[in-house]
Amino acid sequence: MARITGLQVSSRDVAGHPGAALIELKGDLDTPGGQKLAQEVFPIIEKGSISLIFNFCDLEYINSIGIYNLMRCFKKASNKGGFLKLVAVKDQVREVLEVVGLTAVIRLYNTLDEALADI
Amino acid sequence: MEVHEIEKKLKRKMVELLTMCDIVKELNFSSELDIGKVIETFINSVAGLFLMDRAVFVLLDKDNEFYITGEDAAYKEGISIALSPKIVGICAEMKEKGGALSAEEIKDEEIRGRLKGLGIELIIPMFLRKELKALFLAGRRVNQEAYSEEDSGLIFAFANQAIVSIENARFFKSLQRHVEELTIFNEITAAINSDLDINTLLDMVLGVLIKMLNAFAGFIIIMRENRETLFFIFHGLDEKKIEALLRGKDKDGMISKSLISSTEKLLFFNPEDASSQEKDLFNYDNQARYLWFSRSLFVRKENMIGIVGLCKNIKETLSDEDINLFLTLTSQLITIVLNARLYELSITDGLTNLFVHTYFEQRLREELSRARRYSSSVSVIMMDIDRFKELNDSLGHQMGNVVLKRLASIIKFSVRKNEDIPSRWGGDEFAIILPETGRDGAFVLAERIRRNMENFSFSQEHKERKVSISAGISSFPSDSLEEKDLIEQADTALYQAKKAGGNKVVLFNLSSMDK
Repeated sequence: MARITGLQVSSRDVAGHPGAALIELKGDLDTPGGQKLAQEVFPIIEKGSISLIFNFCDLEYINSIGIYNLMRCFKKASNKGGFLKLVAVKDQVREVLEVVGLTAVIRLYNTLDEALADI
Repeated sequence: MEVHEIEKKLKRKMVELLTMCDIVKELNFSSELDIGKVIETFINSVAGLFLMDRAVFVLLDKDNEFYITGEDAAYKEGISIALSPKIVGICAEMKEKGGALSAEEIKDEEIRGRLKGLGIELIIPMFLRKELKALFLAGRRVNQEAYSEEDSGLIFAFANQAIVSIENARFFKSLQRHVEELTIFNEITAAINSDLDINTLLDMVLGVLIKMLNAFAGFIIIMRENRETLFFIFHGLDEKKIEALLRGKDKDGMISKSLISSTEKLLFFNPEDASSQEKDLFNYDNQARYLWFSRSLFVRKENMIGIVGLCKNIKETLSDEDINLFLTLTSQLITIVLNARLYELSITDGLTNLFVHTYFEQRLREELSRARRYSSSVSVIMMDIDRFKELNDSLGHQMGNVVLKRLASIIKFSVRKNEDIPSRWGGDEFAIILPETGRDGAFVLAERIRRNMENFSFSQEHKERKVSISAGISSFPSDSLEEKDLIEQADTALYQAKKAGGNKVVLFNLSSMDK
């Protein structure tokens, strides 16, 4: 499969879980990607979807600015009483999240079902 | 140390190194010269790497510019209060040893309390050439971990890399600006020397001012002390509205205030200072607010007043550099106008203030060329004062001059300003070019001048004296297609008017032409 450059963000509501949104990320959560993430996700939170599940299965790369923007989404959702979970995080991305210590703050799950079961 | 621990450390170092590379790339190789964006990238990177809840960057210049992660205005206010000169003083003392200062280490209870209340744990001063240039404030970490010495050291390294890049970017931007200004000055100087059409020059200067200062509208008005407008250039404004404003002599507005201002200075007006007419003209709306600044030029030697006005969005700051550019460019205006005045003198007859013969001929060529191109008409009126020689001989040259000046002022008053070209042909003869005017229109004008002159009387040696004029008219294309012929024909018609007794206007008629 051809490598996606940049970041693609798509979202949908999670059936049976009002106020929950599944956000699929594809590509790189780098400097421009990080900015895009915040731009796309903030309106979703403002519309009322404060329980966010990020599907990272197609996310290849994350840098510090990507982490910073992920944290912003986490803070915004948490401040409204919601949460942020990550699903299917690739090894290279997981390593980075562990090294910076984000995994102590944001929970990672292997599958979407596991994440939904924990709501 | 366990292998697991070593591995963890190595991975951490790898991530830190990659972040450093990212930051260096953004700071040094980005084409972005916006200092704000550069700083934002820096603090977001560091905040991401260390999971900072907040990060604040303070550039210590005269404005103490703050850059804070997040959009919290209340937080910004809190930080600016907390950053008392004491803090800056404490940081300045760290010049020799470098490194970071923990909020806990601050002896002053009040400042320590404030910083802790704002969630700040570390303060990293940034020095360049031994001068304290900026502060980086690191907030609490989201994963509750404390900053180790190693962490502080790394943030310190990042911060000092950043300050070098920021200074370079500032220097480069300033250099770029200077080069731009020099280029503009060169262009304007070349234009001054090559093209003496004032309107074009002023239009160019206004365009440059608007572009350089990121304004959205502006104008230049230059007038005589008696408020007669000499030049009026505007961009981005409704022509009808601004003419109405000037004609109505709107006394309450900023333009009037600028004109009254007795010194050459920069005046800043807020939207509240605008009259209702001006508000309409500049399309003020409730959302955006427009800063306005103007400068009154006084060209005292030549008795002229001018104002240059620019409209800019008040949200955009006006730097010292911008102000200097505005002042320099507007002072160039004085040079342009002065130079143009010299030119004007060379094309204007000293006694009557009408154009000279040579200028008339040059303009006639131009108007005919234009008329041919656009298939329009041009008329020429030749007129002179009846029995002027006798008047001069009997009443003296001084009286003769009075009469000449009187006719000149009647002509000036009657013609269309900035369109018709009235000139002194020589002696007591006058010639007028009327663009876009046919025989009938020319006749009406000439008749008006003749009647006004007829009504003019003066007393000399207790006797009331009257003076009359005769005029001849020819037109392009109805009478002739060539410049030389037009003048000759108008002259011929004038001669016929004289032959018929004077005080008459005659249209050139081929059939009655004397051979």
